[in-house]
Amino acid sequence: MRVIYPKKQKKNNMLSVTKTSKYWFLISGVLIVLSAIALIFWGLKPGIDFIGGSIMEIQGKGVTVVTVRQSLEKAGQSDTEIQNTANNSVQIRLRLLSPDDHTKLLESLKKDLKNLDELRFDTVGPTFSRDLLNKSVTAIVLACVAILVYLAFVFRKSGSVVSSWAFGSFAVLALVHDVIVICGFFAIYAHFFGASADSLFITAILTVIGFSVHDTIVIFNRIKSNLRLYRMPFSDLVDQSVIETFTRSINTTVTTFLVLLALLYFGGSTTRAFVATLCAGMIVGSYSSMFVAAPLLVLWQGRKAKTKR
Amino acid sequence: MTVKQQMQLGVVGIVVLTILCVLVILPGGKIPYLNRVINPHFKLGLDLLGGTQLVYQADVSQVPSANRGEALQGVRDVIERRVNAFGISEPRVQTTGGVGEARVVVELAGIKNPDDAIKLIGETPQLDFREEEIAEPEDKNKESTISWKRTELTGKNLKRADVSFDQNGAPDVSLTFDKQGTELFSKLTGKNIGKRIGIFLDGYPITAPTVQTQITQGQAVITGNFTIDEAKQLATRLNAGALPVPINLISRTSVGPTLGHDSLGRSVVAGVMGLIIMILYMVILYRYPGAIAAFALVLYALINLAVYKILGVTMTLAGVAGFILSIGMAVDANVLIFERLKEELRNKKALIPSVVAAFKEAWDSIRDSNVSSLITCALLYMLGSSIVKGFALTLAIGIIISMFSAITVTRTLLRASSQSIFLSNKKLYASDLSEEAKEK
Repeated sequence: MRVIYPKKQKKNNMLSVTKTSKYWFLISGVLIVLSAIALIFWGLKPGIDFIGGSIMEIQGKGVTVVTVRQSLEKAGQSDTEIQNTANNSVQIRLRLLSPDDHTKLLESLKKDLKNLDELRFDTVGPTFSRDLLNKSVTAIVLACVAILVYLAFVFRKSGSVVSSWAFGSFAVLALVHDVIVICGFFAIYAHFFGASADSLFITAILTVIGFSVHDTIVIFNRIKSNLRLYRMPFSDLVDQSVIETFTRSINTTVTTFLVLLALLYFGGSTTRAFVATLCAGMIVGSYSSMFVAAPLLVLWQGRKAKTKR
Repeated sequence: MTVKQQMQLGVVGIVVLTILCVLVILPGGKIPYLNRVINPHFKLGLDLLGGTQLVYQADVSQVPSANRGEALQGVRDVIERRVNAFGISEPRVQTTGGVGEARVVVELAGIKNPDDAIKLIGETPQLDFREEEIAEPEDKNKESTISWKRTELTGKNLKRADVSFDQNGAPDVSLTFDKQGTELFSKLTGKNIGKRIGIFLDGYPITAPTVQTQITQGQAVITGNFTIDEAKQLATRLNAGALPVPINLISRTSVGPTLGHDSLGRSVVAGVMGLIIMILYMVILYRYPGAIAAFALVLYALINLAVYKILGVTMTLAGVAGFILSIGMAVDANVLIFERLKEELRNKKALIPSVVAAFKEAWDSIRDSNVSSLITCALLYMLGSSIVKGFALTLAIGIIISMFSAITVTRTLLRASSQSIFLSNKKLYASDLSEEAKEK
């Protein structure tokens, strides 16, 4: 069968993702290794909403990690974790406190620290945390299933050059990449600014996954439709597709990133770790779609072509 | 109707919608009729207001499953009464459903000493029966004083209270006592024929029926012009005291007024800044259509706020984050459309067909992106923690409204203006058009 295609010239001055792919893979490799190191050394501390316990946030003149620790030791509270927050206050994580224990502790703290102001006090019991943990696991599993179904639906028919199976797998691989890097970012953030992996952290991951998978789908869809339109080497075609969707990808990331930045800078302190995670996730998510998922597709396709020969 | 008339109608509709939203958002509600239908104020979450949220688990394992809902409702009523006695303005006490879940969520805004409130709420409801003692005053002109003397008969001895109906179909409340209760009640009624017996819940009288005759069978009926609702309420209250449903505090969140006030201020600033940044971004990047998108964005924010007020969506920190995030996503739709518009114009199409084509072509991407985000929101809503729910809800509302504002509103305004003579210069719509043309 003879087919005629329009001749499409690649613009020379444009960035070629596939030709520079080793640099991107290197960057991603470094990011993943750094994340792994951060996760191994600092780890993710589960929030009290998942494992139960109490958190108290206090502020005032003379309220520092040192003075609070002294006062707590005097009150016989062992096994506490005391941290400075970005909010110029001190956060104490302790075992589950009953209302009586809480009143007593607050009184004894106030004896030592006159200007103390209790900003926040949260307590989560074992029933509640177990329940929330179950629900979160369910949500994550359902999200993964929903994404796979969505991918299968989007890529149910694709051209002969690349199987729909490959499209789906690389989209998932990009997601795994994102999740690892976000977790690594959070481990670093938590180490320096004090935060724990609570239900908001899970929310951030699920939100980023939603964004990122869509970014990847937009690019892959363009590759699919360009496969039907043009005849050119596969790597050029992928480059072409990335460039065509580039403005859209960048703009989406920039607009969401800018509003998140406003929220990070001006917004409330309680959701700061959440917003920071979203910020990092948006960038990693759109980076991985353009610079990881698309070049991987080319790499895989090249291997397959070689083995066929 | 001609196309031009349609456009004019669309523009008028947008103006009317804008005014309506502003009227709804204004504090106190400036339209008298609206005041009755919607809340005059935004519902603020405790993390913005300062206050304490308590989640109680009711242990209903001992209650037959048919009566569990009733028992939980009884617990809720008791907690509400106790909280009211504490003098907190507008406490919110709600039961939360769900399979195998019997929970009561208590929200106390602006409370200073939550530990005391928790102690008060945590007491097991106490129902007891008391005898009337009338002390005859020495001075005959004064009224006799009535006091109530505790008896041994308490809620422990009451097996159950039900709404029943007499021969005439009038509702009354029937009581069933256990073995010990039957004896005690028989003694009590025998002693007090013609007098009243006070039934007290947590020290407050809930009813005081007059004894007609000694009741020995352990079964009694309280009559007297009840409406069905009154009878039901009384039965529930009696059951609340009678049913030994222990409650357990499983989660507590207290936010001090300082932090709450600070968070509220910060959220408003963050929202306004986010909006301003997006407006600048759109105008700088897309000039005239950008300005239209900026207007659509302001209208988007107004509609969102109006919807929050009408639906009574509780605004929390996470909710604000969801709203602000949705601003960024609302802009995304316009970016997709305007990029397409530039492309169409570069291909030397006329302005009006370009506008039409841009909206048509961009629609698929916008729909896909929003559908996948809505799926994520639905899953997050299922995650269940109230913070996460707030985020998912405002994000989902934002996404749905953005489909309207970023598409319908922008399209109407763009099409209307592309038909007017003053605003039909192509350069207004694609700033780099002339340079592109030179290149070619």
